[in-house]
Amino acid sequence: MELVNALTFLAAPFVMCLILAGIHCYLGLHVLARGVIFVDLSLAQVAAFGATIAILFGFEHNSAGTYFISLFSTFAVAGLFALARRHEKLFSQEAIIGIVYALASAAVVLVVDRIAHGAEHIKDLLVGQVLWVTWFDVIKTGIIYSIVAGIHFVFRRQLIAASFGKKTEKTGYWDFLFYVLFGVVITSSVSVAGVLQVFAYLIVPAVVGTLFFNSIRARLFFGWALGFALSFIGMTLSHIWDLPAGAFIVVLFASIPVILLLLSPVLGRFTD
Amino acid sequence: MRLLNSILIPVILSTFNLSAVSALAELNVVTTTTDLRAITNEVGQKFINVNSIAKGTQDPHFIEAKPSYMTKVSKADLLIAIGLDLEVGWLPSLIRGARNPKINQGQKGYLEVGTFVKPLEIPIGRISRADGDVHPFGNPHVTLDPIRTGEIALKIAERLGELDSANTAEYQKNALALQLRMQKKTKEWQQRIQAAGIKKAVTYHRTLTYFLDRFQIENPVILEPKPGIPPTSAHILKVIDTIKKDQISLILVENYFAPTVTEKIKQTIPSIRSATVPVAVDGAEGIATIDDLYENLVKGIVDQNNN
Repeated sequence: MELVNALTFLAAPFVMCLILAGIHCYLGLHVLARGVIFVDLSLAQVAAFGATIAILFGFEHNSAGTYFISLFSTFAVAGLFALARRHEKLFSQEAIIGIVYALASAAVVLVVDRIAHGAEHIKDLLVGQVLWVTWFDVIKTGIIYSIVAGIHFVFRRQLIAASFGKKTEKTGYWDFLFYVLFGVVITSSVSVAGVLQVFAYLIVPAVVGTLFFNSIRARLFFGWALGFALSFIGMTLSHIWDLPAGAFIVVLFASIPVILLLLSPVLGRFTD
Repeated sequence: MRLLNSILIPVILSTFNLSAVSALAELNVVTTTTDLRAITNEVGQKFINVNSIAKGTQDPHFIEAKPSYMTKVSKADLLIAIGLDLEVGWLPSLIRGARNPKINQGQKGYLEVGTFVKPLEIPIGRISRADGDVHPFGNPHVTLDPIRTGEIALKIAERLGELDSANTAEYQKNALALQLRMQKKTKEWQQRIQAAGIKKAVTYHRTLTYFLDRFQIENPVILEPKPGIPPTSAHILKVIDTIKKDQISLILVENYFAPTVTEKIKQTIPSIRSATVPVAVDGAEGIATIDDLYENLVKGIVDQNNN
């Protein structure tokens, strides 16, 4: 009976983790190829800042208003990043991304000074509230991400070329589309899972997949398998050991590449 | 001309006198919480001006230091705090930085009211960080009990009298009036809560302990697995179990916390009712006095239409 209770309770959060793993692994491969790892952390923090501003204006936590204000901030900054890539010679893209991260993080603290829920809100933004998602959230997210995935599939040649290949004059437009879609996903993910968990899902499966495989397809399938497995282990252990789920999942995901790094002398034999 | 002089100069001199007298008489009081400010305001009235450091919407455990706080405290004649380690995370450094010898601990200008009103939930045995954010001297949220608020008012009146002996009688009078009013209203609130039949409630954190204790509502379980630790899945499943077994019909959530956990519980137990409540004066619109605070809490508990 206790097991059934636990499974029913954890079912929606677990499916949400699977959805996150699915979309973020693919986007992560793009992000790795572009060499801008911090863009996720930065955009996620901007989305969090947008959500905080929305609360300041009186919108409820999960409302459409909050989502769109958050999305708007993400788009604005995504445009900024696309602009930075055009002017790579003037501004180091990584520097801009890092600066925006610090800016958004500190701005959240300033805004939060003006609203109720303050300190708790900042904690929630960081490690998220994936445990408390409802099936409604899961379905809503699933639909949004399917649309994003659909667009990526239809324009896969151009988008993959923009991320993995050489720059052409047309690349600017595809860059913009990439960042817009990326922004949509990040905004929604951060409101559910928090900044750090989103970062973990984006980077870790992609990094490990890239380590062991060469083709995009192989990396993707491996990343999905790893993401699903770690989500399952993470949810289960955090439940059994009574630890905050979001933070535990981040630690679990992030430990894998660190361990692999320590094993790198040995790894040479297994990688392509 | 001479008539003007004989009128003008005395008038000017007397205004100087008046302002000198009033500047001496008006005490500058700073409190840590808005509840204390509300109580002190009623006790001191026009003889003091009083400000609170924390806002009503802020969790008083965590205050981000701002330069304006130090300025307020540096000019204060009296600093009133709860104590019981509620403000221990930020007040000592604020006092050090303000460099105002009048309000140092141990001086007449520093008053901690918590220990004087019989704290509850004093932990027994050895405590460590493994037990969460435990307050070793007891639960500090003492101003949520109307009767203790009356006692606190008397304590504040006593200290104000020590600092400003000319108005001792006034302070005592105001404090007694507050206490009497609290005693009278408590009886009314008691009747309303008993009529509503609410005997148990779940809360997020142990903020409402004194309120629930005064009105005989049990608080068998809270959403935090340990004080200050965010809810985990295993713990919430236990909470749901307890709610079902004890047939608890009400979840009271302090408005510092997001309602997401409560929403999840309500999905599993559709019959349960929840109310998000401010737990301090100025904690929400319309909570301007300590009476408003208690009245709003009673409404939150009693009103079946709340969800």
